[in-house]
Amino acid sequence: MSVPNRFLIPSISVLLFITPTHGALTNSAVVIGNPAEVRITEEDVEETDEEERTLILSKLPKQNLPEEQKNKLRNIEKFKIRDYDACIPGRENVNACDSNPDQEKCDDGTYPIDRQILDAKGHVIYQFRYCPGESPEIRVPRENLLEKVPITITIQKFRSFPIKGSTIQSAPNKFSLRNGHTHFWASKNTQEFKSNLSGSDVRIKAIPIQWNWNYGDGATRNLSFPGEAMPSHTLHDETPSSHSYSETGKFGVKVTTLYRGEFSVDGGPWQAIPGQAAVPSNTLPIDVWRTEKELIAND
Amino acid sequence: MGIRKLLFVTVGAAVILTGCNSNTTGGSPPQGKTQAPSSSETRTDSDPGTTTSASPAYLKGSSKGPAKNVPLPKMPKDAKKFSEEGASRFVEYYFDLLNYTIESSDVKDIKKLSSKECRLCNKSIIDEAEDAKKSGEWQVGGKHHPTVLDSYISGKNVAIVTVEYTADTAIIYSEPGNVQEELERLEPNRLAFDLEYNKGWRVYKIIGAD
Repeated sequence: MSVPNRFLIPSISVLLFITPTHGALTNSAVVIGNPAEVRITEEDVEETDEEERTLILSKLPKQNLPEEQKNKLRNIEKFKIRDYDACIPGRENVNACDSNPDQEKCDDGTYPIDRQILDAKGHVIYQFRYCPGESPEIRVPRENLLEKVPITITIQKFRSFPIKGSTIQSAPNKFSLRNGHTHFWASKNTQEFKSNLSGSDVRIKAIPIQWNWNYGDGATRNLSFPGEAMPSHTLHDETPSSHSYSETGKFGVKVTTLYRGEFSVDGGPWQAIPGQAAVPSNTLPIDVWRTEKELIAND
Repeated sequence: MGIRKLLFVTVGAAVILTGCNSNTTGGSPPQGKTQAPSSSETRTDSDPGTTTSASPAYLKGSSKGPAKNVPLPKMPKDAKKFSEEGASRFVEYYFDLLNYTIESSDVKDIKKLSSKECRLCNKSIIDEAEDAKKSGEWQVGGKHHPTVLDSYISGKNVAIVTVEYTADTAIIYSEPGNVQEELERLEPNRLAFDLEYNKGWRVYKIIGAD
């Protein structure tokens, strides 16, 4: 996993009862001789985050409280969790952002999920990213959650549906010439599934948002569109989804399609499922030949 | 910028002031770059509400001295709205103010929009700019570039805006020609802006969001 795992704190209830470590409150006294640097540096962010956390802890009773009182407090402190996708392809209109298909990803090629832990007023206490399947850095025990958890489809559940990968084709079909532009395109199929959870009918949609190509010659490319059939294409024409092989040989081309999910409970509104499923395609064999020029007399 | 050019700009603005006060064009103030005489006419005339019409034109900071007459960015109307969109626009404006503060070391406006409890606002921006003012140091470059990734109304009067930002390389001078420190480019980093609304947005706190 490539997302930094900075705060290894198993659960917020544990976190809330940690006694402030001495020295965590490093005062930002200006050392004379240090240049005045107006910029938001990572070090400043880490240091002030630490101070914020220490402040939260200092408002709470010390760790040596009897277990009974701790539990009482546990019941008072309520938190809200918000998981969401920040700026992934296909969600630009929702988040008003510029998505980047090459941004930092999880090992399986999907985008990390953003998690916000908010207090009762809505102020953010922690914010971090985590990859599906891996335990989030901070978990809030169910009894400390503000709202009852409604019926929801987790990313793990979403991934358990039989989502089909894209099928890929090439022009020319399964054949190319060295240094020619082989045109590739994939299918784009939104798929729907049905499930029953706690007596409710749940519909789930899998919507393709990204195609991660592997051309079999070591080259890879991530595209936010599948490409399309181009009947008049020749090997001279470079297309938005074409690839050029610089060596002859037999190659296997694959595409991993990223699907984001939405679900609807009992005909209610469609809600986004944070995270994606990465689904592999068929492998398309490509035979790349070379051309030889020879002068042939007409007569 | 050479001294000759500075004189040219100043003279250009002065001519306009005495000559064509009625020729108001209503253009927006220049942002970040030294303007040719023709654009400084626009700026000088477009702001009749304030008494700055006599102030000389904006001068970019350099190894010779800090920037002068840095135009204060204006808050867009949308940035005052209580909505996710409004919160996003506000954070973008806050970065405009940060860039203004880097150039001018003037913290008056950014202070108004930052809560006292906002540690990062104080540590990285306000305290540093005030120190620069006291010590006479100035920074050239170091502009921050934000991209809003998400905006969420999380409470009755609270919004959380997630931003990815970078910052340009910068040089800090202690006196003309004397480089105090060179700052590297800041690679993309994520922040969560926790905003509170009371007739307008204000930064309650900023935390890391990686």
